[in-house]
Amino acid sequence: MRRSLASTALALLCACPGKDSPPGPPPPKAVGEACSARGECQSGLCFAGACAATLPAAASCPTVPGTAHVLADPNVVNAIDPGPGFCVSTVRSPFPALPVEMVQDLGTLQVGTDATFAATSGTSSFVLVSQEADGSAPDTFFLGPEAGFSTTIEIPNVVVPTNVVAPGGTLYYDDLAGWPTITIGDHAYYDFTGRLAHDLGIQSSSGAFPVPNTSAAIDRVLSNGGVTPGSWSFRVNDWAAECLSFRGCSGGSGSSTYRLHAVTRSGPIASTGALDVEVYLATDPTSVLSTPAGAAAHPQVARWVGSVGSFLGNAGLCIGDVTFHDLPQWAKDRYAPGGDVDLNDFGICGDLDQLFTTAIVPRRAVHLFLSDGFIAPSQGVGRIAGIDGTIPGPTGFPGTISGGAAVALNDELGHETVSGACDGSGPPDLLRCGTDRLAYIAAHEIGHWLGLYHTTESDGTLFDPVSDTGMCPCSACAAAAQRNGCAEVSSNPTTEITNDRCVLSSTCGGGRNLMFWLLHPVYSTGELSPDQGRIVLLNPAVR
Amino acid sequence: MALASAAVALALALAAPAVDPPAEPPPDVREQVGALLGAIHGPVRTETFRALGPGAEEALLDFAREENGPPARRIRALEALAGLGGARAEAAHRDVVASVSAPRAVRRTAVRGLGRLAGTSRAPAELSPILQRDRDPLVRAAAAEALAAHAPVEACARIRTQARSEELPGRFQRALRLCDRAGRSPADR
Repeated sequence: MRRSLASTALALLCACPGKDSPPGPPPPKAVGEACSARGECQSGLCFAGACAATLPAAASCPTVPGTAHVLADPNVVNAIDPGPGFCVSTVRSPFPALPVEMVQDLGTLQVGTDATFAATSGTSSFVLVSQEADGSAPDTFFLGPEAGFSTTIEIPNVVVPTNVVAPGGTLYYDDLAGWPTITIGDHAYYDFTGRLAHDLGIQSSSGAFPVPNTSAAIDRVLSNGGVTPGSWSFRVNDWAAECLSFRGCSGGSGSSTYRLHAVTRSGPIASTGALDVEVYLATDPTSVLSTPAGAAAHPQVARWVGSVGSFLGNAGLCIGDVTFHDLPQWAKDRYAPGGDVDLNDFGICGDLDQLFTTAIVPRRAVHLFLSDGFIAPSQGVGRIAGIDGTIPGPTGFPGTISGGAAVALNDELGHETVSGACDGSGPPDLLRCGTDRLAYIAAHEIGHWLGLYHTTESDGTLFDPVSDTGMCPCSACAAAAQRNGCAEVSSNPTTEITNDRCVLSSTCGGGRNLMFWLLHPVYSTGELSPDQGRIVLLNPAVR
Repeated sequence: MALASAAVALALALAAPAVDPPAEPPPDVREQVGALLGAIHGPVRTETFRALGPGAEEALLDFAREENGPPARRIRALEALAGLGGARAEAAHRDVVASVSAPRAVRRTAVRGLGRLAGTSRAPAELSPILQRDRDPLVRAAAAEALAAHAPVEACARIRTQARSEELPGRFQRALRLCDRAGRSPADR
């Protein structure tokens, strides 16, 4: 609990009841009574104006985890070879991946332009998808000493809409608004849980902006039975445009253009949902998963799919079709020679983003790449097991820059530290079975695709916008001997927060969550909170 | 967690006077290192491992050499050692490359790390034998990439020759791209 907990705690501390005290809050309401927010309900759930015990299950997923179907595409993905050295940044169409009624094409618009789209009654969520047009946006810009930096630093451009306003005038998102804070102990931390939308700024060139993705927005959407119907407005925007009004910023531009689509998801708002996964094999011919047919028939793939389903089942998801695809040889040789993807260039023309542009199977699904390995960045120490292009992924726009998630096999499939640990379809065993560790990482990446952030980032100072996941601030939760290395107190921090420190108490939590930044073979269970589940289930990828 | 109990806990925490955290035994370094090797995206800073003390290098060496250990953990331990540097890290990399039982992905990581540790001056001597004679074509390709990255002037002719003799030369494409880039003038790169 974050903001709601803090305010409740302060209320307990400060509002000591006495005979002259004003009356307290109205007693919580029972199921079926009218409500406008979940805080009014005993059940903690207000749905469509009435307190509810639970949400109904979706027809697509009556019982979690459902039954997954593992399939092999007999055809090689028909991605066109652009030629060596060419950087693909094509604007992709959402059709036929998405039904026409889910998409509003807002055209190609310059930053600074105001745009509108319609949410009809019964719309449960929406995503604004921006794709850079004609290479018109700067890849980076610069902040110098006048902006408060000791030296000039290069900043990757980020596309994110701003001034997102609901019908009736409620401001959902302003990219220039300050971030609210919460104080824990002697330190202030950003608290995104009460905002109506959240964006951490990681999507270059192409990005997806979802509503709802915070606890406050989830409460509002559920309580109203959907997003506010009517005409929504926003301003087309990127950081390079914001740079123009920042002192000490150079290299900005006000002429970048983006192709904008609004993707609206109509009900149901349910406690379950089904998700399809397209899996692209960026592997070597000698890999354990070298062909779609071989992968689909591999017994460890059956276990992998089952374990992915088990972890995502914690959010109410059923895995539907898991379809393996082969990539053309030119794409493998260029972006994943020998089955390894090089992560040294994180730019849009780097191997990873270019590999993502080959994910062109037109399905409303998560698009996941499996490679034999990753080549970690040589600057610093990488240690990357999985990675996403953006949060969330651009569901329905296959083949966009950053439009994929990727997991490295790392010879983990079928690896057992105890013989028989990966046999059959038992419950996941992260300590002894490599297949299950791979499944955990894939489920974590799928969680990002569906809109989830890390519950706590590595330095223990940044947390997700969800109020019912545990938070684990470094200076409060790290081992006493290591707290002087926390980022809150050190200009040269050396302490990173680990799972074992985040399972200790109600104030040091999240260490078991699927979206914690580390996988620990003992502490990680893959748990997901109710609000995380609701965010995931409202993603347009989920049926 | 129940809101009420969480609220009470926080209320008590806020109400309590500020005190130093209770004395507790220092965390087990090996466990700490093992936990950090579970990073899904990273990055974990080299300084983080250094701050854990000399036991951190020992633990990383153990994890890297662990015969039946999880391959992903061995890979991350090697990458961390390559960041830390030093003779013991280099020896661990050589051991893994020479291992007959280490998984391919682990050996490929060790080859790349060895290139980083050896640097321009020693990479050709360390990696050329692997480029030309390793039993695994993907390990040979990794050696080509490490050589092209760290010693292109000395090694690219050898890499091109080796690529021509490979059954699947596409595996050498990244190394050849690095060689092409190194052959151009800095302004053209």
